[in-house]
Amino acid sequence: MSGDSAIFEALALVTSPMMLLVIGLSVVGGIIVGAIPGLTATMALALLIPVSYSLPPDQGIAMMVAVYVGGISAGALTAILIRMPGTPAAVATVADGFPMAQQGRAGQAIGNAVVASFAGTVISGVCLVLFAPTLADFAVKFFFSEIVAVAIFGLTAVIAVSGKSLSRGLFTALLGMLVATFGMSTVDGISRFDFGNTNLQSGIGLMPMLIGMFAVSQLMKTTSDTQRPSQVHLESGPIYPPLGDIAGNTTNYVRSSLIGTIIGVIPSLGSGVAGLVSYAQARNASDTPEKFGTGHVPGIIASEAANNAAIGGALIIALTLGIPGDPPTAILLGALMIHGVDTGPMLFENNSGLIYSIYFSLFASSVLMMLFLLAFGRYIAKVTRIPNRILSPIIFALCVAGVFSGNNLTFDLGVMLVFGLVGFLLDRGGFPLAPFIIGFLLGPLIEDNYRRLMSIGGLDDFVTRPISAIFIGLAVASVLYSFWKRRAQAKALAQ
Amino acid sequence: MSNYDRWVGLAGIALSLGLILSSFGIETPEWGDVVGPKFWPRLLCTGLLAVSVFLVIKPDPEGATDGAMECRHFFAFGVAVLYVMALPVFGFLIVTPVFIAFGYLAVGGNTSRRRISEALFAALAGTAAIYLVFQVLLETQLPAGQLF
Repeated sequence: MSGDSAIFEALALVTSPMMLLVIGLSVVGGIIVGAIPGLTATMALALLIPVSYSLPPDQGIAMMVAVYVGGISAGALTAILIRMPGTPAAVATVADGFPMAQQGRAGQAIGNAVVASFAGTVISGVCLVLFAPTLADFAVKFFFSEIVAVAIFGLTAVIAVSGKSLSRGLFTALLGMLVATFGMSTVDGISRFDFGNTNLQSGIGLMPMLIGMFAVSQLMKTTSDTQRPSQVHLESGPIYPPLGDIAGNTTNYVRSSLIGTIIGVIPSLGSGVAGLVSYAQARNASDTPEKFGTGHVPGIIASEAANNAAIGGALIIALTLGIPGDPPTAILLGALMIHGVDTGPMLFENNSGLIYSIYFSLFASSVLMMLFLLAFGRYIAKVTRIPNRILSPIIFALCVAGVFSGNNLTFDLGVMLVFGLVGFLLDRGGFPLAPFIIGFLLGPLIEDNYRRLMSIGGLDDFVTRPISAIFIGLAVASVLYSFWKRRAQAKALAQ
Repeated sequence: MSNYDRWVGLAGIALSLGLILSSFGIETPEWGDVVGPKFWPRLLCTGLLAVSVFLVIKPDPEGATDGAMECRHFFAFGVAVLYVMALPVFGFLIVTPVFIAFGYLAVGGNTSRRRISEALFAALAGTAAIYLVFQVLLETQLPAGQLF
């Protein structure tokens, strides 16, 4: 089949009513799952494998791509409305989304998050179509030193999300990295800090910790607020973001989407890291960095554009090399194999029609996701008008169900409670929680890859390998620039 | 100046010293890598210790931003702990409506007849919705009790 005819056939297939119905329903399903605490896009995709198998390959894979897009995009809803990142990808969205909701701008926050998610998916999709082989070549150059260098660069996001007090941000970031060392080391299988508890040997789970840290601590906070609607009021008027918000952030959209795509391409980093790194860079590039964390639209755009762009990035390396960049793409690759499709370099030769239908499914999913959330986001946001006395106990029960369903372990519920209390105590003292998550996500990447690097090479790799050197240089420059900017701001305030 | 920073700093010092001590019990495999499993946790503990000491010596001049805590917060946490502890015994379907109804009345602070009816409705509707989504639609597991 020639390239052009394959493109037109795939386009006709994806725009057929049946396919659009499958994609539309899957996007809605993904949104529902992504918005439920504890349930992730990964879980939704795993549950859908048997359903996918019962459909023709094009429809089955389109359904999974649509659930992936819906699941990642919906994480922003709960992050904005109730300070609960529905998925780890939405951690950075909490920083500005929830303050906006508290200021009565939940609609504006959701609208901007939805448009940014759309832009991120589309821009990464364009990169997927145009530069897949080039980006795949870039991705295979990533060995241990490169991953450590990128993770160190990612750690500079701690400065961006630490607010006014860097010492408090550093404290929570180090605590997060330390907590991530609990359990079995992936390099040698040695158990650390398990205190004789067999459950701790598997380490602290991300979802129980995340839900405890953000959701349970927030629920504890709101219990003193008995009669008021839950936490926020949604203003009347349309949810569509003002054109000014979009036009004024064009650079932010493009930069964040490119950062998300590149981080998505790098195996094992994922959309959560993409959102955090992009948020930090948006803050560094801003003329008003002090507004980040206080309910600032560019912060939401940076996080949401990047975490959705990571989808396209992860698909690039999955489709071109057969390497899963993150857990959802691993499941997607599994589904392709179940359908008898060989992934990797030969996929483009043997199944170009399927590849194009995946591309178009990605675009169709992002359009339908945006239309659905802009049409119904306003009604979803009304959840915040439900009084605390109803919402708080039901959300907690939902957290319990979500966390338990991950591993069917009561131990995970205990972890959620412990981190709920820790999160509450830190939050009440003005200690930012986002650095904890950054440390928790990036700490193991740094340790594992550093140990492997030292076993086969040495520290020289950080300087002699160009990609490592560039990222280490960027990390140093980012830290120096942030400190310079903080000092300049402090001087300006003093005058 | 914030005493809260000092308390958190002291907790950080205790935690980091405790974990450094605990790290001596970590096995070092003979066939292991050059760096070993103890290096990274100890490095982090040292970093945490340094930042904690800094917080004790030089707490943030702006102090805690939102440090007010009431018994109500810890009461809510205690109820949540009891709920989680009761789940493996009585099961999700029995304990959850009780928890939601109790939470509704405790947070609402009003036990009029109307509020009690609302609480019962919220408890049953909330539990049924969660059960439908998780157990029926997604076919995932919810905590099952030993008694029910």
